[in-house]
Amino acid sequence: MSARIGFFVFALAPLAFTVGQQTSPTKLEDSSPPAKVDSQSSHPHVRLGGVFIGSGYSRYSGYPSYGYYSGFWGRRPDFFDPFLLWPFAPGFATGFVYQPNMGEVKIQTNNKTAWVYLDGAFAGRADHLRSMWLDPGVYNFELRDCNRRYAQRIYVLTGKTLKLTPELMEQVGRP
Amino acid sequence: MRYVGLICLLAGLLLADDVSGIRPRESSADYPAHQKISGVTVAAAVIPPDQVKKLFATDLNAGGYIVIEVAIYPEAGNEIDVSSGDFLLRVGSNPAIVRNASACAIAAALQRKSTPPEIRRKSDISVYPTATIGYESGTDSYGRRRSGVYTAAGLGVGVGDDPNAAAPPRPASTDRDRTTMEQELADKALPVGKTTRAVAGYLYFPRPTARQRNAAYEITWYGIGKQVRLTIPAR
Repeated sequence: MSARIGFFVFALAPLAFTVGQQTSPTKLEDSSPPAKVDSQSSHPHVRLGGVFIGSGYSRYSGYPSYGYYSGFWGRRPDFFDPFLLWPFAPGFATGFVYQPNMGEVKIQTNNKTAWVYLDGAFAGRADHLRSMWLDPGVYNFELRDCNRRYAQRIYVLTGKTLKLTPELMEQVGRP
Repeated sequence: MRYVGLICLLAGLLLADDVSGIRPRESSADYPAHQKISGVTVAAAVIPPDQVKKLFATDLNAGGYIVIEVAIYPEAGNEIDVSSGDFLLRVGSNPAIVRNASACAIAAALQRKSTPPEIRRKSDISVYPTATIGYESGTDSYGRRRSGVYTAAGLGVGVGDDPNAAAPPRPASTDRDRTTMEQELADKALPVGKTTRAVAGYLYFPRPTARQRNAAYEITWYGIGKQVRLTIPAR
């Protein structure tokens, strides 16, 4: 048995339109000012805006559940990635965020300003990528800082965490 | 035809740059067990489970595999044909002799082990409490403008399976995981084929069912007609 509690944040309702019932006009014979009573609105009125706050509780037996965040570009591979032809690593646009079908790579290095590359494509700076989630697969992980570099072939598996402690090595010659 | 030749040449160059295996240690003496016979030195070391955990993303310990690092150092000008099937292992006094398992077989077995059973049942319950806060503005029957905040609350309860909600996959259970595990094990395995230079890599043996404490491992190589028997201490 497992339980999951999730909270919807703010779902903004841009326009909630409510029209009150139009009642037949009645003429008041008494000209005295009306008493302060709450009455049903007899004129159309509009509700604008509003904030929807919700929470969800889901309980199902079996394997513990995860939250789901599809990222800015939606769930891969059903989307068109405009960065596909750019020299950016897959996941760069979404910030290598968590998804249930991904594996985690943790980078522990003292070279905070070194650049991280995956399969030769730019991924980000080491201090911003202490933890990144990648699709399962084989990647050529690279850390570059000036003329120093570290390269390793990494294997990412769903739901597993891979800890990397790269140490930059002096590059003997330029390629 | 010219292009076909060019493609073949490129494919050959790519295959020649094979990354299979690992870097052999400086010399065969760096391994706990080594033996030299007629133009080749064979060396081996058992990788302890804690090291296996660090070296591999694939969980070989949970799968019940013993990892042995094997290196072959041919003498200068001597060509050796290496095949992983030429190695046999015996653990301690256990008479059972085991062959090493292929990367493909291990990956398939581990994926099958991780594949989750049907986890959603019809008794699953989903509860969705909701709250709405809004601002309204309008004119009442007396022509006065009225405005204020309104609130509403609700509760939704659902019983049964949600076909749209996909269950999260278990660790290392997808087809891509199997491919990745297979590739990792193949990349780090002892390279097979003819070689004139030193090669090293891992061999994965299924652990015998009968366990013995600190039992020595005896690995036998039938590579060049003669047997090479190495006894590797457990520690």
